[in-house]
Parts: sequence; C-alpha cells; structure tokens
Amino acid sequence: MSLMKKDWILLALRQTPLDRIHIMKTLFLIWHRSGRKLRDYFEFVPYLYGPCSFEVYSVLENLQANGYIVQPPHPMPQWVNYYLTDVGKREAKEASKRASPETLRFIETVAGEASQLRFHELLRKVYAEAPDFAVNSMFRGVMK
Amino acid sequence: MTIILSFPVKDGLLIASDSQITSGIVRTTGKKIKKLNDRCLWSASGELALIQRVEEGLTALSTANQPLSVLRDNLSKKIRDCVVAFLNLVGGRPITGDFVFVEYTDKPNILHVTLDGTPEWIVGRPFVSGIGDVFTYALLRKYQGLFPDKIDMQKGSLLAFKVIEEVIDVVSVGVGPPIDIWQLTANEIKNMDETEITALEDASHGLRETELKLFLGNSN
Repeated sequence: MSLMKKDWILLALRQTPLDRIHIMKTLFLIWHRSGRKLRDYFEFVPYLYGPCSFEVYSVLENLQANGYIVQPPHPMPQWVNYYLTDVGKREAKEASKRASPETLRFIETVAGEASQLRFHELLRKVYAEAPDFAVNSMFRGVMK
Repeated sequence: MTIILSFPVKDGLLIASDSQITSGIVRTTGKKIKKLNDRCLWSASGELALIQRVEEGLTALSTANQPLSVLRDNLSKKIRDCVVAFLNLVGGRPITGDFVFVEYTDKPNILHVTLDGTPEWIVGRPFVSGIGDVFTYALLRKYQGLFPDKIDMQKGSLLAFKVIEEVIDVVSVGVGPPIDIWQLTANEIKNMDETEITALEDASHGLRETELKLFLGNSN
C-alpha cells in the first residue's frame, strides 16, 4: 500500500511541528531526494519563493478541518507551527504502517533537518539542491 | 469601507480588494469585485446602499456587453443618476462613493468614475480607492517606475496582496480579510483561488523576512 498525500504531511509532523513554509520545503526535499519519482505525490512548480505545490495548502486545510492537525491562533498563521492532535497522532501511526522503515526514517530525517533551519537557511539549502526550482524566486539574489 | 487596488502589469491587469462588508456595527465578508461582462470587472468604495443601487442600474444596462471605451459615458450617466436618486432619498446628506471599471483588451483599461459621474482613464499607474488610499499610494510609491513593464502577473499579484495585507494590518476599522485578487489577460479573467492566495501569504511573509534581513545586514 502506498502513502496518500495527507500521510506524508502527518508523518513529517509526527517527527516535529512545522510551519507552512517548512512543511512545503520538507515535502519538496522528500520528493527531490527520492529522485523525483514518488507516485501520486504533490506536484511542484517553481514559484515566487521556490518550489511550491498549491495542493499542499488544500491538504493542510482538510487535515485541519478534520481535526488531525491544529495551529495555535495567531494573527500571522504562516509563522505558526502545525501540531498533530491526538486523532492526528493515531492517523499518523496508521500511516506509518503503510510505509517501509526506510521511508519512515527518510521522512523523519528530512523533516528534522528542515525544522533546524531558519527561513533563509532553508531556502538556501533548497535552492542549492534544486536550482531549477529557484528560477522564479524573488529571493535568489539574497540567498547568494 | 473598503480598499480597492488596480494596476497594469507586463502581461495584463490586476484588481484586488479586501472583503469586509460593514453595515452599522455588523461586520461580514463578501466579494467587492464583480463582473460587468465577460471581459470587464468593476468595484466600488463608499456607502453600501449606493453601491447596491448602482449595481442594480448596471445590471439593467442593455449595452453592458460593450468595451469600456464605448460604455464610458453610459456608465458615467448611470452612476450620476443613481447618486442623484440616492441623494434625494437621503435628504441631501453627504454621501460617499467611488467606482472603478477594469478590462484588458489589447491593453489594460482602468476607468475611474467619481461620485459626480466624472469618468477618467488611469494610464500606466496604480489606482486606489477607499479607506487608507493615501497610505496605499505611499506603499506603492517605490514601485512606481516598475509599472507596467517590469512587473509580471505573478509578482504583481504578490504586490497587490502585500499592500492590501499591510493596509488591513494598519487601518483599524472598515477593512478586513480575505483578500480577493483578479487577474485579467487578453485571454481570460481569473479569480485567484484560496490556495493561490495562501501561497501569496507565504511569499509575502518571505518578502517581509527578507526586507528585515537586508535592513539588519544579517547573513541568516
């Protein structure tokens, strides 16, 4: 059985809480470092801040609406981490049964790595690894 | 109260607004940018009752399918008639209202119609209407030399989002989220969806972080 799109997010958040940008870049790095060959995965485009999959936003919205994840109230939601709820933790555990141990370790490594990086450090890493997805970025000049 | 912003970009035209509708002490949300026809959008700031009256008048306009260059004087007259009727209704007390129509034909067309029905074309620069308009013009000032050729639709959308977001942050009453953005090109009129707006929110956040980084001269 393969992972669904929401599972990748739940498994990343199981490792560590992340904000939207960090979730986006974690999901991208997972795809990129997997040789860009994951099936039924998010599709990324080069956007204003580098790789972006608009679908990530709607999946996050659904996960939140279904009570799997929660974001503490804040006037600037883009700055705030998402956390798994108890229901989300159970769902993440179920998802983990559908993934190989290697895949789980891989998700945990990438999510953990991304969580340690501040915004510009994270972008710099992503742009260095995947320059083809930085072509439309406003931040390329600043990242050098 | 409202904030509406429109400007030409390299490959089209943008119009954006906040979505707060204020009626007395009640605050709700709703679309403030509407279709006049398949090529043309319009919006207004000012008194809701007057805007509703103008909307009814525009819906009844039999020539509404024409380009703005043809429609200009009809729109102007229709708005003036509505204002006069509304003034009579409210006993001549001061009223507010400001109207903008946008379309992209072979070039961007922004038509501003004032409360007294005076129509004026806005050429090669942004147009702003509503509360906080001076503040908005100030925020746009540094981009003035970039309109329209140096800003594409994607970056223009971000600029529209960022400016309205800052107005909403600063102005204490009358404007609020969500931010509504429409993109007009030679081929289509597109209303940005929720995920695209959320992506702009993240890009705007990144831009602000970068401005701070540059200001502080930090390497991280």
